[in-house]
Amino acid sequence: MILLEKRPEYLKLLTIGYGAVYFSEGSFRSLGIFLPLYLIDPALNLDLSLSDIAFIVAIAYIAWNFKFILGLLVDLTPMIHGLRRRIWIICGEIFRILGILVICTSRELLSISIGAFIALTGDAMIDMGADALLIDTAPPDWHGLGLGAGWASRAFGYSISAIATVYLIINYGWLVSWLVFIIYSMPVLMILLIKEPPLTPERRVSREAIARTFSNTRTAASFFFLAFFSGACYSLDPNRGLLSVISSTKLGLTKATTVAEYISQLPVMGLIMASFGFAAAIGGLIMGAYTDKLGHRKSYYISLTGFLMTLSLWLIELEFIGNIIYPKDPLLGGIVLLSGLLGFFEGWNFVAWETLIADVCPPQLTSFVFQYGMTGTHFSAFLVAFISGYFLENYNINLAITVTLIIVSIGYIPVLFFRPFQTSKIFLLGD
Amino acid sequence: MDVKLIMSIIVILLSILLYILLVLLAKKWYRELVED
Repeated sequence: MILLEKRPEYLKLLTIGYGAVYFSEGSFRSLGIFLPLYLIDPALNLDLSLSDIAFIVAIAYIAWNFKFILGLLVDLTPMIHGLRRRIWIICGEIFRILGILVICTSRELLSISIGAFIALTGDAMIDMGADALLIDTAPPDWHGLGLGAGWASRAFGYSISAIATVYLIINYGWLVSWLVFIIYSMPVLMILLIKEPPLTPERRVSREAIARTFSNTRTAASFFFLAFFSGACYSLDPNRGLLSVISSTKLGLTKATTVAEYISQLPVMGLIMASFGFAAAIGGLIMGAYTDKLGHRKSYYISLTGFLMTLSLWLIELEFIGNIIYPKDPLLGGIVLLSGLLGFFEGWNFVAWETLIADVCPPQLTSFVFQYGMTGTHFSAFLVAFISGYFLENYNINLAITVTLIIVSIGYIPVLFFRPFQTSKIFLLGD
Repeated sequence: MDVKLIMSIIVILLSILLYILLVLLAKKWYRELVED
Protein backbone atom coordinates (compact mmCIF):
# COMPACT_ATOMS: atom_id res chain seq x y z
CA MET A 1 0.00 0.00 0.00
CA ILE A 2 1.40 3.42 -0.91
CA LEU A 3 1.66 5.95 1.90
CA LEU A 4 0.16 9.35 1.22
CA GLU A 5 0.39 12.44 3.38
CA LYS A 6 -2.75 13.53 5.23
CA ARG A 7 -1.20 15.94 7.73
CA PRO A 8 -2.57 19.45 7.02
CA GLU A 9 0.73 21.16 7.94
CA TYR A 10 2.63 18.96 5.46
CA LEU A 11 0.09 19.58 2.68
CA LYS A 12 0.17 23.32 3.42
CA LEU A 13 3.97 23.37 3.09
CA LEU A 14 3.74 21.27 -0.08
CA THR A 15 1.20 23.71 -1.59
CA ILE A 16 3.43 26.70 -0.82
CA GLY A 17 6.57 24.94 -2.06
CA TYR A 18 4.91 23.73 -5.26
CA GLY A 19 3.41 27.19 -5.80
CA ALA A 20 6.87 28.75 -5.33
CA VAL A 21 8.34 26.40 -7.96
CA TYR A 22 5.66 27.32 -10.44
CA PHE A 23 5.88 31.06 -9.71
CA SER A 24 9.58 30.75 -10.43
CA GLU A 25 8.88 28.74 -13.56
CA GLY A 26 6.35 31.22 -14.90
CA SER A 27 8.73 34.15 -14.45
CA PHE A 28 11.85 32.26 -15.59
CA ARG A 29 10.18 30.87 -18.72
CA SER A 30 9.74 34.43 -20.03
CA LEU A 31 13.30 33.73 -21.19
CA GLY A 32 11.54 32.28 -24.25
CA ILE A 33 10.00 35.73 -24.93
CA PHE A 34 13.12 37.81 -24.23
CA LEU A 35 15.79 35.62 -25.82
CA PRO A 36 14.58 36.32 -29.41
CA LEU A 37 14.46 40.06 -28.63
CA TYR A 38 17.99 39.89 -27.19
CA LEU A 39 19.36 38.04 -30.24
CA ILE A 40 18.10 40.71 -32.64
CA ASP A 41 19.39 43.58 -30.49
CA PRO A 42 21.67 45.65 -32.80
CA ALA A 43 24.25 45.99 -29.97
CA LEU A 44 25.09 42.28 -30.31
CA ASN A 45 25.60 42.62 -34.07
CA LEU A 46 24.67 38.97 -34.76
CA ASP A 47 22.78 39.63 -38.01
CA LEU A 48 20.28 36.76 -37.60
CA SER A 49 17.15 36.05 -39.62
CA LEU A 50 13.85 35.20 -37.92
CA SER A 51 14.23 31.55 -38.93
CA ASP A 52 17.73 31.43 -37.34
CA ILE A 53 16.23 32.71 -34.10
CA ALA A 54 13.36 30.21 -34.28
CA PHE A 55 15.96 27.44 -34.69
CA ILE A 56 18.01 28.60 -31.66
CA VAL A 57 14.89 28.83 -29.47
CA ALA A 58 13.66 25.41 -30.67
CA ILE A 59 17.02 23.81 -29.80
CA ALA A 60 17.02 25.53 -26.38
CA TYR A 61 13.60 23.97 -25.68
CA ILE A 62 14.58 20.44 -26.73
CA ALA A 63 14.51 18.98 -23.18
CA TRP A 64 10.91 20.21 -22.83
CA ASN A 65 9.97 18.28 -25.94
CA PHE A 66 11.44 15.04 -24.58
CA LYS A 67 10.09 15.31 -21.05
CA PHE A 68 8.35 11.94 -21.33
CA ILE A 69 11.75 10.23 -21.75
CA LEU A 70 13.30 12.33 -18.98
CA GLY A 71 10.26 11.43 -16.84
CA LEU A 72 11.29 7.78 -17.04
CA LEU A 73 14.79 8.75 -15.84
CA VAL A 74 13.19 10.64 -12.93
CA ASP A 75 11.34 7.45 -11.95
CA LEU A 76 14.53 5.40 -12.25
CA THR A 77 16.47 7.75 -9.94
CA PRO A 78 17.43 6.07 -6.64
CA MET A 79 17.02 7.65 -3.21
CA ILE A 80 20.28 9.30 -2.12
CA HIS A 81 20.41 10.68 1.44
CA GLY A 82 16.64 11.22 1.49
CA LEU A 83 16.72 12.98 -1.90
CA ARG A 84 15.13 11.53 -5.03
CA ARG A 85 12.83 14.00 -6.79
CA ARG A 86 14.72 16.85 -5.20
CA ILE A 87 17.96 15.72 -6.88
CA TRP A 88 16.37 16.85 -10.16
CA ILE A 89 15.24 20.12 -8.60
CA ILE A 90 18.71 20.91 -7.20
CA CYS A 91 20.48 19.98 -10.46
CA GLY A 92 17.89 21.94 -12.45
CA GLU A 93 18.44 25.05 -10.34
CA ILE A 94 22.22 24.79 -10.83
CA PHE A 95 21.63 24.45 -14.59
CA ARG A 96 19.34 27.49 -14.64
CA ILE A 97 21.82 29.73 -12.84
CA LEU A 98 24.72 28.44 -14.94
CA GLY A 99 22.75 28.99 -18.16
CA ILE A 100 21.90 32.59 -17.26
CA LEU A 101 25.52 33.33 -16.32
CA VAL A 102 26.64 31.95 -19.70
CA ILE A 103 24.05 34.08 -21.54
CA CYS A 104 24.90 37.32 -19.79
CA THR A 105 28.67 36.96 -20.03
CA SER A 106 28.75 35.97 -23.73
CA ARG A 107 28.70 37.97 -26.92
CA GLU A 108 29.05 34.95 -29.23
CA LEU A 109 26.00 33.29 -30.74
CA LEU A 110 27.14 29.75 -29.92
CA SER A 111 27.74 30.55 -26.24
CA ILE A 112 24.39 32.35 -25.90
CA SER A 113 22.62 29.38 -27.53
CA ILE A 114 24.39 26.91 -25.21
CA GLY A 115 23.48 29.11 -22.22
CA ALA A 116 19.81 29.15 -23.23
CA PHE A 117 19.86 25.38 -23.76
CA ILE A 118 21.37 24.79 -20.29
CA ALA A 119 18.93 27.21 -18.60
CA LEU A 120 15.80 25.74 -20.21
CA THR A 121 16.98 22.16 -19.66
CA GLY A 122 17.36 23.02 -15.97
CA ASP A 123 13.87 24.49 -16.03
CA ALA A 124 12.45 21.21 -17.41
CA MET A 125 14.30 19.22 -14.72
CA ILE A 126 12.81 21.37 -11.94
CA ASP A 127 9.33 21.10 -13.41
CA MET A 128 9.49 17.28 -13.56
CA GLY A 129 10.96 16.93 -10.07
CA ALA A 130 8.30 19.15 -8.50
CA ASP A 131 5.40 17.45 -10.31
CA ALA A 132 6.60 14.01 -9.24
CA LEU A 133 7.12 15.12 -5.63
CA LEU A 134 3.59 16.51 -5.46
CA ILE A 135 1.92 13.42 -6.94
CA ASP A 136 4.11 11.11 -4.81
CA THR A 137 2.76 12.49 -1.58
CA ALA A 138 -0.60 14.21 -2.11
CA PRO A 139 -3.87 12.30 -1.77
CA PRO A 140 -6.04 12.38 -4.95
CA ASP A 141 -8.73 14.52 -3.32
CA TRP A 142 -6.07 17.18 -2.91
CA HIS A 143 -4.72 17.11 -6.49
CA GLY A 144 -6.95 20.01 -7.58
CA LEU A 145 -5.74 22.35 -4.85
CA GLY A 146 -2.09 21.35 -5.22
CA LEU A 147 -1.93 21.49 -9.01
CA GLY A 148 -4.16 24.59 -8.98
CA ALA A 149 -1.74 26.39 -6.66
CA GLY A 150 1.02 25.61 -9.16
CA TRP A 151 -0.92 26.79 -12.21
CA ALA A 152 -2.05 29.95 -10.42
CA SER A 153 1.48 30.80 -9.30
CA ARG A 154 2.80 30.19 -12.80
CA ALA A 155 0.24 32.65 -14.21
CA PHE A 156 1.31 35.27 -11.64
CA GLY A 157 4.93 34.59 -12.51
CA TYR A 158 4.61 35.17 -16.26
CA SER A 159 2.28 38.16 -15.83
CA ILE A 160 4.68 39.89 -13.45
CA SER A 161 7.88 39.09 -15.32
CA ALA A 162 6.47 40.21 -18.70
CA ILE A 163 6.11 43.70 -17.21
CA ALA A 164 9.08 43.77 -14.79
CA THR A 165 11.66 42.45 -17.28
CA VAL A 166 10.73 45.06 -19.91
CA TYR A 167 11.03 47.78 -17.26
CA LEU A 168 14.51 46.48 -16.38
CA ILE A 169 15.62 46.26 -20.03
CA ILE A 170 14.56 49.88 -20.68
CA ASN A 171 16.09 51.31 -17.52
CA TYR A 172 19.11 49.12 -16.74
CA GLY A 173 19.96 47.20 -19.92
CA TRP A 174 20.29 43.52 -20.75
CA LEU A 175 22.97 42.52 -18.23
CA VAL A 176 20.91 43.50 -15.18
CA SER A 177 17.78 42.02 -16.77
CA TRP A 178 19.46 38.64 -17.31
CA LEU A 179 20.84 38.65 -13.77
CA VAL A 180 17.30 39.19 -12.49
CA PHE A 181 16.43 35.81 -14.04
CA ILE A 182 18.61 34.31 -11.30
CA ILE A 183 16.33 36.01 -8.77
CA TYR A 184 13.30 34.64 -10.66
CA SER A 185 14.80 31.17 -10.24
CA MET A 186 15.28 31.39 -6.46
CA PRO A 187 11.75 30.67 -5.09
CA VAL A 188 12.29 27.09 -6.25
CA LEU A 189 14.47 26.51 -3.16
CA MET A 190 11.28 26.52 -1.03
CA ILE A 191 10.42 23.00 -2.16
CA LEU A 192 13.69 21.68 -0.77
CA LEU A 193 12.12 21.96 2.71
CA ILE A 194 9.69 19.19 1.86
CA LYS A 195 10.56 15.69 3.03
CA GLU A 196 10.19 12.97 0.44
CA PRO A 197 8.47 9.62 1.09
CA PRO A 198 10.72 6.53 1.32
CA LEU A 199 11.45 4.59 -1.87
CA THR A 200 9.52 1.43 -1.03
CA PRO A 201 9.09 -1.45 -3.56
CA GLU A 202 5.61 -0.03 -4.32
CA ARG A 203 7.29 3.09 -5.72
CA ARG A 204 10.13 1.41 -7.64
CA VAL A 205 9.98 0.98 -11.43
CA SER A 206 9.70 -2.72 -12.26
CA ARG A 207 8.97 -4.97 -15.20
CA GLU A 208 5.78 -6.05 -13.40
CA ALA A 209 4.62 -2.44 -12.95
CA ILE A 210 5.07 -1.73 -16.66
CA ALA A 211 3.35 -5.01 -17.60
CA ARG A 212 0.36 -4.39 -15.34
CA THR A 213 0.03 -0.72 -16.37
CA PHE A 214 0.27 -0.82 -20.15
CA SER A 215 -0.73 -4.36 -21.17
CA ASN A 216 -4.45 -3.59 -21.25
CA THR A 217 -4.90 -2.06 -24.71
CA ARG A 218 -8.18 -0.36 -23.82
CA THR A 219 -6.90 1.53 -20.78
CA ALA A 220 -3.59 2.31 -22.50
CA ALA A 221 -5.42 3.71 -25.54
CA SER A 222 -7.86 5.68 -23.38
CA PHE A 223 -4.94 7.30 -21.52
CA PHE A 224 -3.25 8.16 -24.82
CA PHE A 225 -6.37 9.94 -26.11
CA LEU A 226 -6.87 11.71 -22.77
CA ALA A 227 -3.29 12.97 -22.93
CA PHE A 228 -3.29 13.98 -26.58
CA PHE A 229 -6.77 15.41 -27.15
CA SER A 230 -8.18 16.74 -23.88
CA GLY A 231 -5.78 19.48 -22.81
CA ALA A 232 -6.17 21.68 -25.89
CA CYS A 233 -7.37 24.72 -23.90
CA TYR A 234 -3.67 25.17 -23.14
CA SER A 235 -3.20 26.34 -26.74
CA LEU A 236 -4.59 29.73 -25.66
CA ASP A 237 -2.03 30.10 -22.85
CA PRO A 238 -0.23 33.47 -23.31
CA ASN A 239 3.16 31.70 -23.50
CA ARG A 240 2.04 29.75 -26.59
CA GLY A 241 1.53 32.91 -28.65
CA LEU A 242 -1.87 32.09 -30.19
CA LEU A 243 -3.81 34.40 -27.85
CA SER A 244 -1.57 37.34 -28.73
CA VAL A 245 -1.98 36.55 -32.46
CA ILE A 246 -5.80 36.45 -32.13
CA SER A 247 -5.88 39.61 -29.96
CA SER A 248 -3.49 41.59 -32.14
CA THR A 249 -5.35 40.54 -35.32
CA LYS A 250 -8.62 41.71 -33.79
CA LEU A 251 -6.88 44.98 -32.83
CA GLY A 252 -5.11 45.31 -36.20
CA LEU A 253 -1.56 45.14 -34.75
CA THR A 254 1.44 43.42 -36.36
CA LYS A 255 3.69 40.91 -34.53
CA ALA A 256 6.50 42.62 -32.59
CA THR A 257 9.95 41.61 -33.87
CA THR A 258 12.11 44.23 -32.11
CA VAL A 259 12.42 45.44 -28.53
CA ALA A 260 11.12 48.87 -29.64
CA GLU A 261 8.01 47.33 -31.26
CA TYR A 262 7.50 45.06 -28.27
CA ILE A 263 7.66 48.04 -25.91
CA SER A 264 5.29 50.11 -28.05
CA GLN A 265 2.70 47.29 -27.97
CA LEU A 266 3.31 46.41 -24.33
CA PRO A 267 0.63 48.61 -22.71
CA VAL A 268 -2.12 47.04 -24.82
CA MET A 269 -0.80 43.47 -25.12
CA GLY A 270 0.39 43.52 -21.49
CA LEU A 271 -3.13 44.43 -20.38
CA ILE A 272 -4.62 41.56 -22.37
CA MET A 273 -2.02 39.04 -21.14
CA ALA A 274 -2.28 40.28 -17.54
CA SER A 275 -6.08 40.01 -17.71
CA PHE A 276 -5.75 36.40 -18.90
CA GLY A 277 -2.93 35.58 -16.47
CA PHE A 278 -4.52 36.93 -13.30
CA ALA A 279 -7.88 35.36 -14.17
CA ALA A 280 -6.11 32.04 -14.91
CA ALA A 281 -4.53 32.30 -11.46
CA ILE A 282 -7.94 32.72 -9.83
CA GLY A 283 -9.48 29.96 -11.96
CA GLY A 284 -6.58 27.59 -11.29
CA LEU A 285 -6.44 28.08 -7.54
CA ILE A 286 -10.05 28.58 -6.44
CA MET A 287 -11.68 26.29 -8.99
CA GLY A 288 -8.81 23.82 -8.57
CA ALA A 289 -9.78 23.46 -4.91
CA TYR A 290 -13.45 23.26 -5.93
CA THR A 291 -12.55 20.53 -8.45
CA ASP A 292 -11.60 18.26 -5.54
CA LYS A 293 -15.07 18.72 -4.03
CA LEU A 294 -17.03 18.54 -7.27
CA GLY A 295 -15.23 15.54 -8.78
CA HIS A 296 -12.39 15.78 -11.26
CA ARG A 297 -14.27 14.54 -14.32
CA LYS A 298 -17.38 16.65 -13.68
CA SER A 299 -15.22 19.72 -13.11
CA TYR A 300 -13.47 19.08 -16.43
CA TYR A 301 -16.79 19.00 -18.34
CA ILE A 302 -18.12 22.20 -16.72
CA SER A 303 -14.90 24.17 -17.19
CA LEU A 304 -14.53 23.01 -20.81
CA THR A 305 -18.10 24.13 -21.53
CA GLY A 306 -17.32 27.53 -19.98
CA PHE A 307 -14.13 27.80 -22.02
CA LEU A 308 -15.93 26.99 -25.30
CA MET A 309 -18.78 29.40 -24.55
CA THR A 310 -16.29 32.19 -23.82
CA LEU A 311 -14.28 31.45 -26.93
CA SER A 312 -17.42 31.53 -29.06
CA LEU A 313 -18.10 35.05 -27.73
CA TRP A 314 -14.94 36.13 -29.62
CA LEU A 315 -16.86 35.41 -32.82
CA ILE A 316 -19.55 38.01 -32.20
CA GLU A 317 -19.00 41.75 -32.13
CA LEU A 318 -16.40 42.41 -29.44
CA GLU A 319 -17.30 46.10 -29.45
CA PHE A 320 -20.81 45.22 -28.31
CA ILE A 321 -19.45 43.45 -25.20
CA GLY A 322 -16.72 46.06 -24.63
CA ASN A 323 -19.21 48.91 -24.84
CA ILE A 324 -20.77 47.70 -21.61
CA ILE A 325 -17.55 47.92 -19.56
CA TYR A 326 -15.33 50.41 -21.42
CA PRO A 327 -17.25 52.65 -23.87
CA LYS A 328 -14.12 54.79 -24.57
CA ASP A 329 -12.49 51.92 -26.48
CA PRO A 330 -15.09 49.16 -26.81
CA LEU A 331 -12.88 46.86 -28.91
CA LEU A 332 -10.05 46.87 -26.38
CA GLY A 333 -12.53 46.63 -23.49
CA GLY A 334 -14.18 43.60 -25.13
CA ILE A 335 -10.87 41.84 -25.74
CA VAL A 336 -9.58 42.47 -22.19
CA LEU A 337 -12.86 41.23 -20.66
CA LEU A 338 -13.00 38.13 -22.83
CA SER A 339 -9.28 37.42 -22.24
CA GLY A 340 -9.98 37.48 -18.53
CA LEU A 341 -12.94 35.11 -18.87
CA LEU A 342 -10.93 32.83 -21.15
CA GLY A 343 -8.05 32.85 -18.66
CA PHE A 344 -10.39 31.90 -15.82
CA PHE A 345 -11.77 28.89 -17.69
CA GLU A 346 -8.36 27.93 -19.10
CA GLY A 347 -6.86 27.90 -15.59
CA TRP A 348 -9.76 25.85 -14.24
CA ASN A 349 -9.96 23.42 -17.18
CA PHE A 350 -6.23 22.83 -17.36
CA VAL A 351 -6.07 22.05 -13.64
CA ALA A 352 -9.10 19.72 -13.92
CA TRP A 353 -7.37 17.94 -16.82
CA GLU A 354 -4.11 17.70 -14.84
CA THR A 355 -5.97 16.12 -11.91
CA LEU A 356 -7.28 13.40 -14.23
CA ILE A 357 -3.72 12.67 -15.37
CA ALA A 358 -2.36 12.80 -11.78
CA ASP A 359 -5.11 10.44 -10.56
CA VAL A 360 -4.02 7.69 -12.94
CA CYS A 361 -0.28 7.90 -12.28
CA PRO A 362 0.95 4.53 -10.97
CA PRO A 363 3.25 5.10 -7.92
CA GLN A 364 6.07 3.28 -9.77
CA LEU A 365 5.76 5.37 -12.94
CA THR A 366 4.54 8.71 -11.60
CA SER A 367 6.88 10.98 -13.52
CA PHE A 368 6.73 9.05 -16.80
CA VAL A 369 2.92 8.94 -16.94
CA PHE A 370 2.45 12.57 -15.83
CA GLN A 371 5.09 13.87 -18.25
CA TYR A 372 3.62 11.79 -21.06
CA GLY A 373 0.38 13.64 -20.36
CA MET A 374 2.26 16.93 -20.60
CA THR A 375 3.75 15.85 -23.94
CA GLY A 376 0.19 15.21 -25.05
CA THR A 377 -0.98 18.70 -24.18
CA HIS A 378 1.89 20.15 -26.20
CA PHE A 379 0.67 18.06 -29.14
CA SER A 380 -2.88 19.39 -28.81
CA ALA A 381 -1.61 22.97 -28.46
CA PHE A 382 0.57 22.46 -31.53
CA LEU A 383 -2.38 21.01 -33.45
CA VAL A 384 -4.56 24.02 -32.63
CA ALA A 385 -1.80 26.53 -33.45
CA PHE A 386 -0.90 24.79 -36.71
CA ILE A 387 -4.45 24.36 -38.07
CA SER A 388 -5.80 27.68 -36.73
CA GLY A 389 -2.65 29.43 -37.97
CA TYR A 390 -3.31 28.04 -41.45
CA PHE A 391 -6.89 29.30 -41.44
CA LEU A 392 -5.80 32.68 -40.05
CA GLU A 393 -3.17 33.11 -42.74
CA ASN A 394 -5.34 31.96 -45.63
CA TYR A 395 -8.86 32.90 -44.59
CA ASN A 396 -9.90 35.05 -41.62
CA ILE A 397 -9.72 35.32 -37.84
CA ASN A 398 -13.29 34.13 -37.21
CA LEU A 399 -12.71 30.92 -39.17
CA ALA A 400 -9.49 30.35 -37.19
CA ILE A 401 -11.41 30.76 -33.91
CA THR A 402 -14.14 28.39 -35.14
CA VAL A 403 -11.51 25.74 -35.95
CA THR A 404 -9.98 26.25 -32.48
CA LEU A 405 -13.44 25.73 -30.96
CA ILE A 406 -13.91 22.46 -32.85
CA ILE A 407 -10.49 21.05 -31.89
CA VAL A 408 -10.82 22.02 -28.21
CA SER A 409 -14.35 20.56 -28.03
CA ILE A 410 -12.97 17.12 -29.08
CA GLY A 411 -11.65 17.02 -25.49
CA TYR A 412 -15.05 15.82 -24.17
CA ILE A 413 -14.79 12.46 -25.94
CA PRO A 414 -11.57 10.99 -24.41
CA VAL A 415 -12.67 12.05 -20.90
CA LEU A 416 -16.05 10.40 -21.41
CA PHE A 417 -14.49 7.08 -22.44
CA PHE A 418 -11.47 7.24 -20.15
CA ARG A 419 -10.67 4.23 -17.94
CA PRO A 420 -7.82 4.42 -15.36
CA PHE A 421 -4.91 1.98 -15.31
CA GLN A 422 -5.27 -0.90 -12.82
CA THR A 423 -2.03 0.25 -11.21
CA SER A 424 -3.10 3.90 -10.95
CA LYS A 425 -3.11 5.84 -7.71
CA ILE A 426 -6.90 6.14 -7.48
CA PHE A 427 -7.39 2.46 -8.30
CA LEU A 428 -4.98 1.38 -5.55
CA LEU A 429 -6.73 3.65 -3.07
CA GLY A 430 -10.16 2.39 -4.16
CA ASP A 431 -11.44 5.89 -5.09
CA MET B 1 9.99 24.29 -43.64
CA ASP B 2 9.79 25.98 -40.23
CA VAL B 3 12.22 24.34 -37.77
CA LYS B 4 9.67 24.50 -34.95
CA LEU B 5 7.20 22.61 -37.11
CA ILE B 6 9.75 19.90 -37.99
CA MET B 7 10.77 19.56 -34.34
CA SER B 8 7.14 19.28 -33.20
CA ILE B 9 6.36 16.60 -35.80
CA ILE B 10 9.47 14.57 -34.80
CA VAL B 11 8.56 14.78 -31.10
CA ILE B 12 4.94 13.79 -31.71
CA LEU B 13 5.83 10.84 -33.92
CA LEU B 14 8.51 9.69 -31.49
CA SER B 15 6.20 9.94 -28.48
CA ILE B 16 3.49 7.94 -30.26
CA LEU B 17 6.01 5.32 -31.44
CA LEU B 18 7.49 4.98 -27.96
CA TYR B 19 4.04 4.51 -26.47
CA ILE B 20 3.13 1.77 -28.98
CA LEU B 21 6.42 0.00 -28.22
CA LEU B 22 5.76 0.32 -24.50
CA VAL B 23 2.31 -1.26 -24.86
CA LEU B 24 3.74 -4.13 -26.95
CA LEU B 25 6.54 -4.69 -24.45
CA ALA B 26 4.07 -4.56 -21.55
CA LYS B 27 1.89 -7.19 -23.26
CA LYS B 28 4.90 -9.47 -23.71
CA TRP B 29 5.98 -9.03 -20.09
CA TYR B 30 2.43 -9.54 -18.85
CA ARG B 31 2.19 -12.87 -20.73
CA GLU B 32 5.49 -13.96 -19.14
CA LEU B 33 4.24 -12.85 -15.73
CA VAL B 34 1.01 -14.85 -16.05
CA GLU B 35 2.87 -17.95 -17.32
CA ASP B 36 5.26 -17.79 -14.34
